Amino acid sequence: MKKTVLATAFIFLGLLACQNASETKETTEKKEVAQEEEVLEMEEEASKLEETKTEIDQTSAELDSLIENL
Amino acid sequence: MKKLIQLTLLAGLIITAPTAWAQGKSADKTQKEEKSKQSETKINGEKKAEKTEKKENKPEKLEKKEKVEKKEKLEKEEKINKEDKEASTEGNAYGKNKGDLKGKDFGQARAEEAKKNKEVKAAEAKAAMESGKNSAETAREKIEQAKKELEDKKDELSEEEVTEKSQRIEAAEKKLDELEEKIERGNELILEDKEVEKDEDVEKEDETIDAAKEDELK
Repeated sequence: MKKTVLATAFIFLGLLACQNASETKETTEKKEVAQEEEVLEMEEEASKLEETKTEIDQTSAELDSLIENL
Repeated sequence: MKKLIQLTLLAGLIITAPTAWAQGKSADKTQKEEKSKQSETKINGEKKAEKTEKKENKPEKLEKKEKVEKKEKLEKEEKINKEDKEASTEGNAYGKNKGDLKGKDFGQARAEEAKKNKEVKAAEAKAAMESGKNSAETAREKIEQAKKELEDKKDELSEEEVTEKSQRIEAAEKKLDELEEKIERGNELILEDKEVEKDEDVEKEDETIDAAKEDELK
């Protein structure tokens, strides 16, 4: 009787450990994905900002040349 | 005794289940890679077929010339590839070369780097917007001045000169409007970023407060 109780407890603990391991794995994966998405978003925003900066510089240079020719 | 053996076997199965599951995932990955390779080979095959069709339509002399040129090109490319391989055996993709950092630290370092880069770009964009505003103001003044001058000298100038000058003024005005629009868009972009950052800060504060409360309860 004792042996069966011990064995069932062992199985129960094993099950719990497996569940816990899978949960932690899932959460870490989710965190990694979220972090990666955040990084990509930031990179995209940085490229957008760079693009606007170059556009503004270009148009202001064009405007200056047009004003000189007035 | 039999029961005990059965139970231990069951326990072993349960313990090995997660590793088997993980291996299954890697098998999926390899399958995906194989599929992408197959699609690449298909595309290459199609390209080769197109090339052979083109070859059939060309005269022999041209073919010979092209062959020689291709050979030279291939040799050059091989040389360059060899040199590149000798120079660097490391990949360029993110995460391939993590240096001394491990997975989590590498991710955090990359996030911090991206954040700093974004801040630098935002500062540069702001500076460009400021200088753009200044040049827009001076341009507006000069355009107004040119308009007044044109009105005053209308009688002295020929029709052609007047139309030319008015066209120039119009072009300058259009460019000025364009510049102001771009500056406005840039402002909106920066404001959006600030709002997002504020929301993130509020979320982080809420999380820290929740964590502190949980700790107190414990």
